[in-house]
Amino acid sequence: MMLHTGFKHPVDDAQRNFRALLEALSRPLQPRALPTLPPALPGLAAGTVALLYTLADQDVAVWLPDLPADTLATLRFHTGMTLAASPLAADFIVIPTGRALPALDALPAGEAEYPDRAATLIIETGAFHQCDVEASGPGIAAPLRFGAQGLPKDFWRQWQVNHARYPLGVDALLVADGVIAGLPRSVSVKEG
Amino acid sequence: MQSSIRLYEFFLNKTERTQSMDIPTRQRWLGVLANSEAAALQTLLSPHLPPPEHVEWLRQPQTGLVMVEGRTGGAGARFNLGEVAVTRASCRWQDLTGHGWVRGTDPAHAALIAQADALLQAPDRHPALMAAVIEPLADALRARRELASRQAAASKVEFFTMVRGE
Repeated sequence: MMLHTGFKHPVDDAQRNFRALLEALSRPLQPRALPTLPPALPGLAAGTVALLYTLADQDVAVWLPDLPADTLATLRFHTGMTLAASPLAADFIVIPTGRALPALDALPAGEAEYPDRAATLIIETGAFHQCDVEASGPGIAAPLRFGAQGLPKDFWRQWQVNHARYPLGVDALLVADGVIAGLPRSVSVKEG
Repeated sequence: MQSSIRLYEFFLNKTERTQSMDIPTRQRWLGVLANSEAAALQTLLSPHLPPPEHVEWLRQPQTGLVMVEGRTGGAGARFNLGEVAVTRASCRWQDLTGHGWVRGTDPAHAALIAQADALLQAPDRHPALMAAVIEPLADALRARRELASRQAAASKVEFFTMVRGE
């Protein structure tokens, strides 16, 4: 088992990425590049690793699919995160390229008293484009066209169901290598 | 002293177990390294250090606070004794990972320990390093402790109670 290097400047790099992440969530579905990327890990894209180094710490449970032991050990080493046994017990759910996405309506969506106790999905996709849906909601001035390669066919239909549960529901971060797009539960989408 | 050793134990259990070396052996050398003077370690270790470009830093030295726990009488209930400043660093040399944790705020000391830890795990470097670095440091440590306990023993005061009356 071998540990890999993380951010070159752990504090500064995580803060810069966190800023970009806040902007990505306040301007949903407007892709932006993460300012600093750590080396990618076996089975995970650099952007996903950057988000985990930025967001995870010892108070956070992350669900990851089967990944090489190196990857898990490195993530634990740099963040101290706990690994959740199932997506239902996770704060963050990571879906690397080519892995199945669990049904959105089965994931923790928060409670009426604590809507913040919902899961956040980190989904690796192919390149972003503008062909799948028309999105609207807070942070989107005029209806915005968006799409991402590699998402399951019924993802946007599931997303609309997720949006209908607002203020409950999951949030998602789409990662296309080093570029991210925020998809908070407040975003409503119309297919076509 | 005991607390810093327990820290390593905690750390090794949490992150990774050494592949080849058994835990108590590694704990011993990490304990000796952490309790020795940084200057002495620098002097003894510098001829053995690999060139800096062969060492990859997984974690640059960073300082934080660690809560030290104690037990009343050594066996009673746990209590928080207090926080202590600890500096840690981790490096990889070849495919070996070295961790250095040391009380205090000296980044160079933690970096030296991490490199020594990685080198000591290499079977071909281990015997030479034990003889040249760890044993002399352990001897110095033992001498320092004996001196301290002798000085303490010399200041011991015996109290007598005179038998009165009869």
